[in-house]
Amino acid sequence: MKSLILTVLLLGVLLSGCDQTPAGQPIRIGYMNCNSEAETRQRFRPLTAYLEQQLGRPCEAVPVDTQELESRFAAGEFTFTHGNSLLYIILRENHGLQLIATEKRGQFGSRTAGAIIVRRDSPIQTLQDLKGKRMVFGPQLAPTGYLAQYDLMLQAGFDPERELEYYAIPHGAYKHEKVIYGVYFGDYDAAAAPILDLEMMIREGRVSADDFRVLAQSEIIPYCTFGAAQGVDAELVEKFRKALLDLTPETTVKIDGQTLKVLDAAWIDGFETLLDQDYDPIRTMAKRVNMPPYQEF
Amino acid sequence: MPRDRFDQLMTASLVAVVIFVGILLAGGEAGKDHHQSSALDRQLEREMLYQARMAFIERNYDPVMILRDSGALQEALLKLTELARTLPDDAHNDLLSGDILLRMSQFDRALAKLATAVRRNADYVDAASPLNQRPLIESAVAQGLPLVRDRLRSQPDNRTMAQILKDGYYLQSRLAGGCE
Repeated sequence: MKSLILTVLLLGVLLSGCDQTPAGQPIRIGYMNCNSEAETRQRFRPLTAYLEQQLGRPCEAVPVDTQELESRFAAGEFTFTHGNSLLYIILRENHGLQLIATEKRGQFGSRTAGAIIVRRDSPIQTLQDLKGKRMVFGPQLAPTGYLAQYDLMLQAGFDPERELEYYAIPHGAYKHEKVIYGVYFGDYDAAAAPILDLEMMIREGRVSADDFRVLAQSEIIPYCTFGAAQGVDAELVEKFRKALLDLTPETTVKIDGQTLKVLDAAWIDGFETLLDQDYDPIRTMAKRVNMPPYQEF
Repeated sequence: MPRDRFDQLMTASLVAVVIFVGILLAGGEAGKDHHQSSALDRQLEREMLYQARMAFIERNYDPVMILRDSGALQEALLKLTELARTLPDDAHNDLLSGDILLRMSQFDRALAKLATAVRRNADYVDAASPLNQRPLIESAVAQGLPLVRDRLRSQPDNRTMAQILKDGYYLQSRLAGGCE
């Protein structure tokens, strides 16, 4: 009788543990805000819950402003980070970030590009025609929303600081969309558009491919990247990488009683393991444009 | 002239055999005609299907091919993204994406797209089909496969490349006449 009661109690404890959060100090994952903090939380909550299951450790998703990611990472706030490929280089060069995996999304998989676009009916035909025109860029640390386009212009012998009449960076959230709409509605003559954002807006039917012309396009470079802080246990890093690579479109997690597809929720097609040298074209661009981590004053 | 009952029986049997053979021959000719006509019907049906498919491709994908041929490769890709909204999972979208990605030197992505196109429509590797795209696919395999192999040699744990290598081998096998 005693052993039966013990067995029932043990079973009860085991079963009640199934839905519980693993115990211990949470692993903090810093996610760069793409558009807004609320969107970042919503996108990455299922992925973080999945990682928690796979790692057997509690995980916490922390949305971070792009401009603050380096200082907060340097202060030791995050074990893992998810950010754009320029941030990966900055954190790698300055703080020894380890490369884990690169996000796949859109026509170029784990890579993407930056483009300078104009309206289809614009008289602008070449980069030189941008002289005296109004242009809108994405945020300054965006590899395919600022860096790539700035570099394209410098490579063509066009100095945006002196030759554009005016250039702007939109305020607030959803900067990449604002840039594309800025040209679409005629507020600017040209825009620095990430190809992936343009592709997604076309896929969703918000703009048409016929609305724009691509004036110039950058080399195709790695997309958003997961990294691990220097000194994180190698076994944990490998487990984290494996968990990302094992994700399929059918992988689900349960959150608040709802079953959610992890990749769908995060707007990700999958992950690929790239090599650090795959990021060299971004390093070259950052050096030419005099941007972090190679900025010289 | 029949001389006795046996002769009469033999003559009657002969006449019956001649009539029976005649009927058989007449029936055989009709079957042959029917067989020939159904083969012709099938050929005609296939021809009509090809013509309809070609007209469909021209009507829907002409803007993409014009952009591609003028060198506006990214715009052509974006147009394909837009077309996928109204024509999802169409093999020709994958084929043209593969073609454009190959022109952009995105060999791995090109192989993946072309493999999807051939899985959806085997006519692209049929030399006798009006949809034949063997030169394009041969070129993608010849340029892309060595690069994918090299990448896997330096990075054997790259699962994406391992899958693309399989896609490349699949195309190679289909070009050689292999089945699914």
